[in-house]
Amino acid sequence: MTQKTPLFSCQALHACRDDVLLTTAVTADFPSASYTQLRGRNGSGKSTFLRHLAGLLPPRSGTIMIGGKIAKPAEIPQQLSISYLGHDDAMHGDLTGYENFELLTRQSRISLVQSDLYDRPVSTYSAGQRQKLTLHMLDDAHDIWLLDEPSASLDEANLTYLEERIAGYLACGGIVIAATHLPLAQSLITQTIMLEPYEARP
Amino acid sequence: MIRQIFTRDIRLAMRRPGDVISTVGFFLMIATLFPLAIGPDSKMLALMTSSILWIAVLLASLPSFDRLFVDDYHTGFLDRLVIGNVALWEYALVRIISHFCIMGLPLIAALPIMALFFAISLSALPLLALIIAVGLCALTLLGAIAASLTLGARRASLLSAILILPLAFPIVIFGTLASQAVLEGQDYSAHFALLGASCLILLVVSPAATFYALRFAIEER
Repeated sequence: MTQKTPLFSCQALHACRDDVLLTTAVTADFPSASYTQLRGRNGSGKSTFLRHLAGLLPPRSGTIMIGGKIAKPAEIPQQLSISYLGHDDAMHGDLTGYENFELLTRQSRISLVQSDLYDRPVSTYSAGQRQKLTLHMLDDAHDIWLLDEPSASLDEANLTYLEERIAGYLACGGIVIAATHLPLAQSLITQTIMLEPYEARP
Repeated sequence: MIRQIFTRDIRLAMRRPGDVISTVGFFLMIATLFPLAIGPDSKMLALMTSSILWIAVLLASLPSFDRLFVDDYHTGFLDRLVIGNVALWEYALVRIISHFCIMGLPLIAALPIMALFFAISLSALPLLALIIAVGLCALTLLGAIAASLTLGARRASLLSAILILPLAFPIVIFGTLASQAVLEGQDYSAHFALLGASCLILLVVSPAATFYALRFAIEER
């Protein structure tokens, strides 16, 4: 944590893509040391909801608040440090694991576990190895973790690793918001938000 | 962060030299086509050297502009920049600079070969290189606007070519006139000044325009 994290919350926020509302309104607080799971069917708007929270996609309906004040999308990354784990891992296939790590986390390679694997170009990795590397990029010093289906192609050992990381991060006061349809660190959950499809009233 | 992105781009270019080699090869091929099509009339060719040079520069650099942002857009790297609070206009500027170093400088380095083809005197070569460098700089700035506007579009490369070409006319006109003057040993300063002015205008406009276009592209993703 940089300092004390201001309260992060959303009010009457709909996931909205291409001017179509995908979900019913969600109002929720995300206090320190809380783990929120977003659940919902495929295509229910979980990823879109996370993109709203990250400030990548301006919401069409509803607001995001930081410390009680309405935050514009562009202000969210300015006020909060975010670790984001999405469908695409932002890694360049021709760069090695270490080079991608340094570029994406802006930390030196010493912070990453030493392994011969990470001296090879990322394009030679398996899906699981790639995802393991993205897990190493989660930063305990950030204010908030936004995870989009983080456990999709992880094996048993890496799943345990992710759950340990979440537990450790929550213990030092972090905020975790994860969109997932698989069980993930169920014992730590603070709140579950079910994303219901939005249906226009007749 | 800006320096890291620059280092990354240079590193990537070293790892896949094919992109640069094919661009330079394309540049030389276009230039060799003209004498074949026009015929070996050296008087006519001498008259057309600067036009041929500029058409070759324009055509060879056009396809490379598509690569400016498309990889970072599709891998989600642009998303991470926004989340990491990196200013997108700085990112755009550093991409333009690294692209100029990776694609533009090799074209200029190939000029001596061109000089051989077209019997350009060696004394005119440094000035010619400078004029083409300024022109390439302007073209890259223009290319960045088009590349960012067409991100995520189908047939993006064709679309961006259609966007760039009309806007590139002044650059090609001033560039050709300035190079022609240099080749004929006349005063080139007026045309060169106009070329420099177009480059400076684009230097102000391009990062801002690219910033907004990238921002839109990220939202539409």
